[in-house]
Amino acid sequence: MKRIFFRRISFVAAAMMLALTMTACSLSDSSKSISKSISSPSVSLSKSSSPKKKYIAEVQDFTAAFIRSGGSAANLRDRIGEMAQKAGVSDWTADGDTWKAIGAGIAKAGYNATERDAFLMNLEPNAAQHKWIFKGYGSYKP
Amino acid sequence: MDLQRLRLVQALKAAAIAAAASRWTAVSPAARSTALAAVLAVLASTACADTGDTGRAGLAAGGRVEFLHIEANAGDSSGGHAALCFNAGAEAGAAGDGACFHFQHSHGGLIGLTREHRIEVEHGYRVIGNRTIHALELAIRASEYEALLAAFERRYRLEESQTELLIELEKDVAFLDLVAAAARRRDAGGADAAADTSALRIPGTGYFSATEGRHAPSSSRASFGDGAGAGAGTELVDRGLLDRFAASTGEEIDGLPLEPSTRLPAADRSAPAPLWRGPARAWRERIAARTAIAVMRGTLQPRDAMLRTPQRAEPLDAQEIAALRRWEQRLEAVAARLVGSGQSSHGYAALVALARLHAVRASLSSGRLVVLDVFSESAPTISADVVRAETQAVQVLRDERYLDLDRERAAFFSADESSELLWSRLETTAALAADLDAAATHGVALRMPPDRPLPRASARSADLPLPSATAADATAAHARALRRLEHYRASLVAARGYDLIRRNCVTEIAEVIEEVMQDATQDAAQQATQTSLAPGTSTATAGSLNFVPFVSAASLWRSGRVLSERELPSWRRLQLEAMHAREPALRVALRETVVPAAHSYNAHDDDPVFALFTDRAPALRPVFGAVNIATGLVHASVGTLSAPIDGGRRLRRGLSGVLFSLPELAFIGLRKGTYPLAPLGWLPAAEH
Repeated sequence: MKRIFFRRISFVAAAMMLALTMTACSLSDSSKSISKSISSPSVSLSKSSSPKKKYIAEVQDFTAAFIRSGGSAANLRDRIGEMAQKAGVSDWTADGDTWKAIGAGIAKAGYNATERDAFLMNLEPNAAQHKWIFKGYGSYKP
Repeated sequence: MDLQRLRLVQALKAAAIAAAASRWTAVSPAARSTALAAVLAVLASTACADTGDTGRAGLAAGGRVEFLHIEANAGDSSGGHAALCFNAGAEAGAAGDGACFHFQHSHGGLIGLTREHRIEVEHGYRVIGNRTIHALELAIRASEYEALLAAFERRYRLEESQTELLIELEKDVAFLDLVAAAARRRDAGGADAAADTSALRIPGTGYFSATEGRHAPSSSRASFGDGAGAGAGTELVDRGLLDRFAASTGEEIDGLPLEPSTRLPAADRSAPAPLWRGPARAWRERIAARTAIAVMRGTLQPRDAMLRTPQRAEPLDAQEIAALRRWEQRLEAVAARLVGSGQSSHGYAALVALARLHAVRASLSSGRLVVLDVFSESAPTISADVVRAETQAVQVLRDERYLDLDRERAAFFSADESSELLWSRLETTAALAADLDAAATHGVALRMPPDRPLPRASARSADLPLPSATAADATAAHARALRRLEHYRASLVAARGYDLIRRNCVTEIAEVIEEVMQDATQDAAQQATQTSLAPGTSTATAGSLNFVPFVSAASLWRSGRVLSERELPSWRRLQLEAMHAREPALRVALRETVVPAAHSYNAHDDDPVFALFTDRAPALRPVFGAVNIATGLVHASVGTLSAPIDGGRRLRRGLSGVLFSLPELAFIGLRKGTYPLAPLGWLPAAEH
């Protein structure tokens, strides 16, 4: 009897707490976000690992996952552009590291040379980009 | 292994069905409390099945997963919060690398996945948010670790792309509204047919002006023209070509299609949403390209007012000056290539290169590091009042950012070749350090850095050219854009709409885990996956209180699948512990309970009003709560009178003070106070 009473009390208390506040879970646009971005900007975090290496690995992994999920080449190009800007690369279409990482991602997705070439037909890289992709594809080590 | 998973999936579903079919109190407490635990324990139990070991021997190297239960605080996540972290504390480069995933109540009532580094999470919640975190290490296997990490990454990218698309659809509506208004005025033959475009933001355009730069004294003027049309810009790109591009860009803007060039995708979970190519984006790209051409032609000048110098940074040395000269040459080549390509999609990148060229030339001219003011003109701020009240914290923050600056400076200048990525980091860090200089010296407001480390300032131009559509066409296009927005928003809300009980930070973590689990059992348990769960109805949390973070953590612990638990005390608790070590306990208790007297906390406008901390005195909580309610009421009463002056700020603080004091009457303490300016160094050194 006592247990049931306390169970009901705890339920009522929890329900009251939630009903009163109605903001379970964090808000993404709270004032805390401003404080955080000033106090611990993401640029200050990669103390031990190279930010460039991290970016290259991200592009490579994203490309591989994207290809495996059947995403289109045009969509990949757009998404990589967004990723590059978030890393601080505005001129990403001429950034060799980005295209080499895309090439490595194609290899990581398990595409053979024929599949790779078919994919590149849709990705439509220019000559320099094409060269970088091949370099990244060839240098990928699982 | 598969059979064991199948049994657990079935057990989960049975528990969920039972819970849904019954009243809350009628469900067995064990079924309720272990529902979430079962989901998270599935992975662990399969590991144990393979090894016959229920402890650490079942773990694969490098696969460490922690469930964080973050205690509640007033206002932001007052029901508590939850996160799942991968390989925190592991060596850099390890899979996951300290990534934490947590679902936040975000844009337009959606719940969205956030990915942050573990240090950011701890700093954000333990220090700024002043909440204790309970970190529960879960038993997990290497292959499942990889699958889980990949699933969270996939979900993160997917939701990020969907949110970006939603924002772009909103921009289409705002843009077409303006186009339609301008067209109506034009059709009506109004004298002032031009629309005020100053509300539309075009990042990168804020670094140039037709008049401002020319009159500013600067020995480093990085002019691309002399205002009469002949200058350095025309040395980089043929003058005739620039003229042709200027004309063609103008024509493109004039005849810009008001319909998107891509179809609106479904808001499902099959693949990331494509980049939305709507009229607003097309217009922004063309205005950016037009601006870049104008800079090259010399009709716009770079603005000295948009340059920042971190005053405490050392002057440039000879090696750095040599590296900056190479960077200058590269920026010239980049600007020439991008503008010379004639592609409007390169407009923003061209503006960034041209603006940076100005900053680099200013650096070379002054011998000091000069960077662009990267902040958006609409960046949220921490008010000057808070900055002035927290001078000590501001100084520590400034010192921290200067240490960051030293590191980023070394990274850029020691690289074999100039790297835009490294310059972007250096630039953002230097601009933030310069802002903190100004805040520490003059007590001015602090601005929030951009979400990506690139210059984001927009010009507030009221007279930008718009497409010359008819009023009927523009109005119809606006209506269609509005329908697209409403349709997509409704689809997203259906899939990802925040719901206090059915879809929150705990239910969503459980759902991602379930997806991984179901993928793995697909072959062995086809039938089980056929009844896959709809979003927001996770079996792990349905019909129980496991959607509440602290309940889910307790459930996990009781499941026996938690390898260890660590309590990471909040910033105020850390301070109190340090005070207890050097002062009499009674003195600390008396002083630190009373808000105005406390050394561990400064009241500020972002926190609800309260007079007494109740976290260290649970038995007296109702009494303290009554005092806090009275304080809130007094504050709200005064706030009612002062509302016309302060816009109701005091009234809101008072009322929220009353609201968050009510649970204290029932012995529940939510409010702990927060620290709006908290240096990273406040986190215990061993933990970051």
